[in-house]
Amino acid sequence: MKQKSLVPPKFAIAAASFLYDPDLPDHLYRTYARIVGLAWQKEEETERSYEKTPALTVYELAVICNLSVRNMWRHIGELGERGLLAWEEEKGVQTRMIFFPVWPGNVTSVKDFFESADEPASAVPAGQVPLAPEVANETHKALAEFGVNILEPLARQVAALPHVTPDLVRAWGDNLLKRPGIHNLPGLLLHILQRHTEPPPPPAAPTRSGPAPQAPLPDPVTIAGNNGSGDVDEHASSGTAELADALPDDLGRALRDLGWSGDDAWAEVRGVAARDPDFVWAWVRYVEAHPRLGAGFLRTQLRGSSWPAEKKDGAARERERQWQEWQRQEDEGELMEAVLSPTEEAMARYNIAPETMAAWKKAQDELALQMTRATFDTWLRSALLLSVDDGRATLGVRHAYAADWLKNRLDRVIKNTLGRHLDRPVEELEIVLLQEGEGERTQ
Amino acid sequence: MTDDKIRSLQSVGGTRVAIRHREDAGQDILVEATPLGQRLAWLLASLDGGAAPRKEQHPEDTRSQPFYVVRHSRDLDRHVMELVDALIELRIAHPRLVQLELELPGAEVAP
Repeated sequence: MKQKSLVPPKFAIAAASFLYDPDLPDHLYRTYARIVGLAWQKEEETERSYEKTPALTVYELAVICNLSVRNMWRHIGELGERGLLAWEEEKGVQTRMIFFPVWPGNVTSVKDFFESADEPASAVPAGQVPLAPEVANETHKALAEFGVNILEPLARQVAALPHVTPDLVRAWGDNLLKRPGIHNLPGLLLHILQRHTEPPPPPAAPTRSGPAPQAPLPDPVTIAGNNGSGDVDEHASSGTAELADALPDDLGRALRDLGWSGDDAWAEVRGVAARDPDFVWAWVRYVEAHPRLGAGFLRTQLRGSSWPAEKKDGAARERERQWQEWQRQEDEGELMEAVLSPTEEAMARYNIAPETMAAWKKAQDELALQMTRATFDTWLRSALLLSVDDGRATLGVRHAYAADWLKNRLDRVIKNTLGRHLDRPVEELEIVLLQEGEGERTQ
Repeated sequence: MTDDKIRSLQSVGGTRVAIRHREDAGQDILVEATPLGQRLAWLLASLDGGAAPRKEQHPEDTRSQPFYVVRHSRDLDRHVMELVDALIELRIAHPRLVQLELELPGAEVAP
């Protein structure tokens, strides 16, 4: 049996009406396009009248859409609420999703269709803005004042919108005329009029330093607030959902459970998690273990660079202080020579066998692909594999704080990776502090 | 169609379609000279004024399959875009062609 690829081989249909809809969050559009794209398949050797996409489970759909099952359901629900997806139950055990793409078209009967087939828009030479004889409409005239070809179907469609009045057209047209950097004023005017029911806000009061700034172009939130179907809060919540989606599902859930909320907060934690997810996880676990602390405390900690310590005794505080000092020195280049010292120098200084060093370099290359660059640079780049003996590997690091961190978080990953490159299992990983001479065990 | 300067794009009903870049930065559309390919080439040519498509064969391989050449002009491009939009709409507007069946475990079916 020939195995077909599940996703479209080359292209998926992207409906422009949705693609440029500011009310439709990007993450929902992406999911919508992916779902619609799945309908490309054909069954072979079928006797059905119409070939159809093989049924999928929600899990399969979630994998294809790169979502968790929970978020898959949430996206389906939101798309359903927006009328982009519909459901139809079959026999009580199957559910069929049917798509209703919204395509322009106002023809209601064959008679209307052929009667409405008027002159083609292409009959109007480009660059000219003729006024049709039948145009007595003030809105048409207002549009034409700003170069809009009112014989084009889009222009007629916009002019027919109930909220588009001559005053609105002139308000926006005059506003755009004052702006630099607009090459297609008619096109931009039509685009704005389609989605903006209010005139542009008045210019702000002049300031001492110069002329009054121009009124801002409509922003997405303002436009969303005028769509009649959803308010600004709904739009904002969609944005929050999108930001939360950018995080691993379990991390997003943990943050929500701690009361994490607000677009700014989600954007902030997303940035930190992109640099170092382990750092975020460490503080999330810390706050989870301390019920009196909350999202506010967590946010403050994520803005810093200190890692949490369950019990900061004197030794732990000293290790952290030394670690921060080492990082400061590294930032200032004081340790650059040591970090970037040649391999031969490290092998001579720590008496590392050539084959051990070769295996460690390969393991480092692989480890770098298994974590964020920041994590690798911070914890592993300067580490050295000192020896391997009877399933016991000794890794040298430059600070006790790094030793603690690696032992607690990457022990298994390092052992597995090392084992692959040494062609023998590594059952125990010992992490020691690198000294000027030979390695010295930390514990 | 054995010239290494062409790029094969798609097969329509078993008829190969390719493009060949010209030195003037334009491109020619090449359609394999099968019965279906002949009709397809004529359809494309009709979008550009209706001139008959030119039939060619690889100059160094007279045993190779001949093909039709349609110049990708500005008018042809405009009509191709409209045709593509129309074809997509034809298919996506069909009540049964654009749908996806989702199998749910019995427990997940709403009462």
